[in-house]
Amino acid sequence: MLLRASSQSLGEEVELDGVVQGVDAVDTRMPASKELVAFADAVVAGSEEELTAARTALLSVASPEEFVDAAGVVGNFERMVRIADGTGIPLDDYARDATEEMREDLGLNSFASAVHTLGS
Amino acid sequence: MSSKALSNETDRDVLDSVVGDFAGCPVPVRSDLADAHGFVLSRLRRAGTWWTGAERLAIAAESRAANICPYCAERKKALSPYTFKGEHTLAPGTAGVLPYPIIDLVHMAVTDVTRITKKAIDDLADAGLSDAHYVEALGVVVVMRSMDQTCRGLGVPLHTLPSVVDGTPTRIRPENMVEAEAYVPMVPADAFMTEDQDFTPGRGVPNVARALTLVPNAVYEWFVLSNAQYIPSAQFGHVTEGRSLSRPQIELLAGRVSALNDCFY
Repeated sequence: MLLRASSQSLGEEVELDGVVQGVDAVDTRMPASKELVAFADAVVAGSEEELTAARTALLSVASPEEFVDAAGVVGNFERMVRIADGTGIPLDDYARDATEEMREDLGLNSFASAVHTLGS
Repeated sequence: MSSKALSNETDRDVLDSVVGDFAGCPVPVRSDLADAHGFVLSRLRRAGTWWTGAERLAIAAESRAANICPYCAERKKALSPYTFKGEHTLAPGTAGVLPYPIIDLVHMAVTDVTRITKKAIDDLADAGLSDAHYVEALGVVVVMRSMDQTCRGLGVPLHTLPSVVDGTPTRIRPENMVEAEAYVPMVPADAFMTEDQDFTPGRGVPNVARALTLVPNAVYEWFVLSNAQYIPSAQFGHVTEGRSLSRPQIELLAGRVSALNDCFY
């Protein structure tokens, strides 16, 4: 939801498919989008070799400061998902209404954690 | 600072160690990131609200051991994690420090968090542990995961866990928590946590910011890391504000990591 809101606010409507489908579906109108997604994939689930390659690729298109930001954000959300699912919190009311169509389009309702997060 | 809160000081030896780790990065790492990691590690070595410093460091060590635990890897493939029998491979030195049921949930929080249930948390009572013990342990797991994955991304060593500082947990449970909205009690939806870790009626916060409020110290550590690794809290609602990365780039990463973790929230 924040990706859509932030891109719209900047006048840069972004296709969201890459969030779920990965590098091949990333909207390349966003600078360094493929390299950022590949980097996230490698940090979360990649081998050391894959991570080294992703790091090199990201640093070839992003500044050192952007690279450090990316590592911090990936680490941050490895935490956020565990807080959400480890405590079984429901989706916030405002997000439930605002994301109904997006959840359907991206197939998010099939995520395992949707059972408790949607309160269904 | 309220007496309910842990020390807000960062230990020099811990910060020096973090700075040394970041010096191995191929690019300069901003100082606020080192400060945040040093601060959180300085708190992890001390008694918290329900666990001693030794126990908190053992939880931290187990959060790392889960990544290479063969039982966790096999259990993740099982139809139900609660009927799959086996034994976790523990971190060196943690045997006997922590009750096994909390080790089990710590490993699960790292490797299979979407299948943690309220019943699993409630069953901790059989080992003499409360929902607040679980929330504090989860708080330790998530700050460790956050720092470790940042280090992994940066290409630097994981931070060395510091030595223990003796102390006694405060065992203060916040009042007026709301039951039944989640697996654990949380602060009411229309309250928020002040800097001295009291709860005040007022504007509400997203549920993810309420999730750990049964242990306010865990929320504070959450805020400190989030301010350095994501967006400073004062900028959170301003969706055009980013860092060196633009906000849409930041949210692309956030969404992708959530999807990779099968996190609906």
